[in-house]
Amino acid sequence: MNGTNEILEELRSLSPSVAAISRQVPYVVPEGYFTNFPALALGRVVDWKDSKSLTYSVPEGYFDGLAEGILARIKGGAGADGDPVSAILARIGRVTPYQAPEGFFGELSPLLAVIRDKTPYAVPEGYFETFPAVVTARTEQMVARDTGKGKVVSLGNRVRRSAGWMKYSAAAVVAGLIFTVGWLRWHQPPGSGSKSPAEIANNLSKVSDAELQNFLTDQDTTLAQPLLNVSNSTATIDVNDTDLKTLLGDVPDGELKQYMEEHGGASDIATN
Amino acid sequence: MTIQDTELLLQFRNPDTKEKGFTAIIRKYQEKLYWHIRRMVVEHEDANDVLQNVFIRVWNGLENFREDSQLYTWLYRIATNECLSYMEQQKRKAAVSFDEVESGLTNKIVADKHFDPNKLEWKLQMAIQQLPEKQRVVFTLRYYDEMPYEEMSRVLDTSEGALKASYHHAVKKIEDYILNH
Repeated sequence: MNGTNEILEELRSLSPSVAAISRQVPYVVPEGYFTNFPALALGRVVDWKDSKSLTYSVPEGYFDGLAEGILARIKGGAGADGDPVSAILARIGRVTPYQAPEGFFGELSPLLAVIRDKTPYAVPEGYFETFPAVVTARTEQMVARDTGKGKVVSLGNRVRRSAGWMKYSAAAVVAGLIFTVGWLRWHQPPGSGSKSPAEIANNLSKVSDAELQNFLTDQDTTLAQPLLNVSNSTATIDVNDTDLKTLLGDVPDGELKQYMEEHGGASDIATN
Repeated sequence: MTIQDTELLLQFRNPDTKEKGFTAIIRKYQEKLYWHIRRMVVEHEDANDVLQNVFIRVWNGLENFREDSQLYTWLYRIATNECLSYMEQQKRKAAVSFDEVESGLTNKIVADKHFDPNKLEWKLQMAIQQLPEKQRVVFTLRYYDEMPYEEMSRVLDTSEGALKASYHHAVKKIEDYILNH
């Protein structure tokens, strides 16, 4: 082998004592071992092949046309309501044989017990009716693409297209929101939030005295308390004669005299 | 790839001459691989088991063998991996029985009916068994099989620099062992 000297030189430079040791391996091989080994190894390979082939077997010709058969059944809508993919599975059904102990969910959480059977998600109407057809179409596309006939749509394009659709949807929602809020504000009747005293008085004139009396009787308990509080309050208004003259300056003397005659206490009120 | 190896592969790939080609490959490489394995696992029975497993792997993989690497390198790679797997199994067994693989290998050397503690060759074998697995492989490939670093890097999937360092450490440890035992 090339490089023997190079390897020996390297070893001498690293360790002269190790380089001085004979490279003779002291182990011994049983006599005739290498003569018999090829037959032994070949025997092992044959045994191994046999042990592999004996494990399981399939009926003759099982794999011939298996792929085509499966594809044909997928195209034919297998797995939908019609022809089932597996007759055995179809017979067993989808009922899960496991059961939770009675009241388990109720003890765990009363809320969960109420909501466990209600799925909050919804699917578009008719989704499951059209789904097999969609899958079949996709399968056909894939088959066509694999055979080089179909149009190859890159993942990037799909993502970009769906992102654009989302963008336009979001913009439409925001625009709709702005329009609705604006329309509601502009078409609100003037003063709908609060009524003027004149309007209240006008409306009250349409209400009969009996109705008003009933209302006040009903509200008696609620009105009495605030009034009581007012009468008990210590707040007072200091009004002197000058202020009173200023306040009643525009009222004719005749009207004041008439008021005093009707209500009494005329001596307390100064005239203009 | 040598011309002879190419011919052997052609024979193997032909269903009519497959077994003949395989037998020829075994004959050509069995001794080299046997000694590579034996120096690692010490006992003949273990080496025999590992070597048989190596050739079963060769039978399975030879159909897909790409001829951009040498058959010789590929065989060494399989043999080395099979050795390491075997030793890993031994380690797991040793862990169960609270034993140690290194001392187990040393015991196997001592138990060999040809063992002579005064002979340097045996002392060297004892020293090799003290090395960590990777250094043991590197040392035996370089020292006994005279494998160039370039080829060894293909067998062990390790850079030449790392292999040189590994070999250097291994030689120093062996020297230490021999001088102190």
